[in-house]
Amino acid sequence: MDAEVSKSFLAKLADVFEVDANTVTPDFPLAARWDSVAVLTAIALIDEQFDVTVPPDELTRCASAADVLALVDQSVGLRAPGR
Amino acid sequence: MGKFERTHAVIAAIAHHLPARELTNEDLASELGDWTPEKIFEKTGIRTRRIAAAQECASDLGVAAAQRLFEGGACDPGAIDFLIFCTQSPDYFLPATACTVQARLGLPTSCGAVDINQGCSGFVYGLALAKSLVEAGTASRVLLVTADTYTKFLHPRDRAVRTIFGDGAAATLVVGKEAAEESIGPFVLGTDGRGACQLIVPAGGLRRRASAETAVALEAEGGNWRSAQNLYMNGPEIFNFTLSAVPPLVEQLRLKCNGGVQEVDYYVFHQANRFMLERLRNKLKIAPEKFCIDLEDCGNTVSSTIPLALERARRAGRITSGQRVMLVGFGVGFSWAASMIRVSF
Repeated sequence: MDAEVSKSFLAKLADVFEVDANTVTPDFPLAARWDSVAVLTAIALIDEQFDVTVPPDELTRCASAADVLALVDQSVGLRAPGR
Repeated sequence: MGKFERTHAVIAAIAHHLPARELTNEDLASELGDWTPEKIFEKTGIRTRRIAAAQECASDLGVAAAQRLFEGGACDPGAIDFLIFCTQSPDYFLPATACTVQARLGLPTSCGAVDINQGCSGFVYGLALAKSLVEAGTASRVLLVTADTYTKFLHPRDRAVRTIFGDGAAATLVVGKEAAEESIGPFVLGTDGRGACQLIVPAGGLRRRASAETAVALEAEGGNWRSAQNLYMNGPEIFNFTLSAVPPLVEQLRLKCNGGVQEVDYYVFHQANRFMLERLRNKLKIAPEKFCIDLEDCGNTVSSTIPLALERARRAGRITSGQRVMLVGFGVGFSWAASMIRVSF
């Protein structure tokens, strides 16, 4: 993922977890933060930004913001052509 | 060249009924503890829901909605020749709720009556059936009743569902009218039963009968509690399904309507919750003033959200006679259905 894109995505991810925008760096820990609302808002954010839906159970396995970035990269790569 | 007139189905009237008891965000916050009333509203767009009383069933709500429709002068009960009763919370396994409702409403014994079991897509499915009955000449005045009491399935400590669902019913009259253009349709329908396990009441039917074991509530994800007899909703999976299924559904319907050239004046989607609706609106790039969000005072009433919102939009003047409205239902099943209607009520 392009560095600018991932930077702006992390800032938006901060909103999902209701923390300050520059707090969320790739090593930001997420393991304990996946409540139902966070999962829904993150799915919505990823869909909005990348036009791809990520499986909820894979999302909740993301232990850090870097894991979320990797999941997005993988999901965009797997996206059916012409969607 | 003028078009030939023939019998087309039109919606002649809609009425609804909500049970008296309220469950406000304040009630939920004091009961469940960890969410404030404001947070519940912010996440769901719902301030209060209506809850059926212990002895109040789908039939009771549906009868009240239909009586309101008759009282409004739409037609006489004696003129109804087909009743479609849509519910997923029927009074009995058998007989069909439609049969008991026929008698209670004083519909003629010459009236056809069936139940259909669909949830969030149920109203649009019901319209598709009603249109077919009328335009095939099988019936001339179809009463389509949607009624659900999902709250009876909810575990008190499952806040994921208690914040969202409310009970309610709507009655819609579909009649034949000589006209050159169709007023209901076209339709796009769909099903993906692989999603059946994502929104389900697992026990209490015949596959897994209610027993002492199925009645035991266990703690599940996020501190929510439920037994196998309670409604289970996998919120994130439902959300993903909606985000993937609804935009192509809308696009298919637009294409089916004369190649997408006709203007849509207003959109009434199944009122699932505000968060989901806002996401869909954004994704589909629909202007807010053309997009119905109307669930603040009643929550998600499942099969009745669309007719309820339609009736209220008509009363409030947000839609006017002759306008073209797109209806989109999606959810439990997974099942989905979309249709165009022309406002004729």
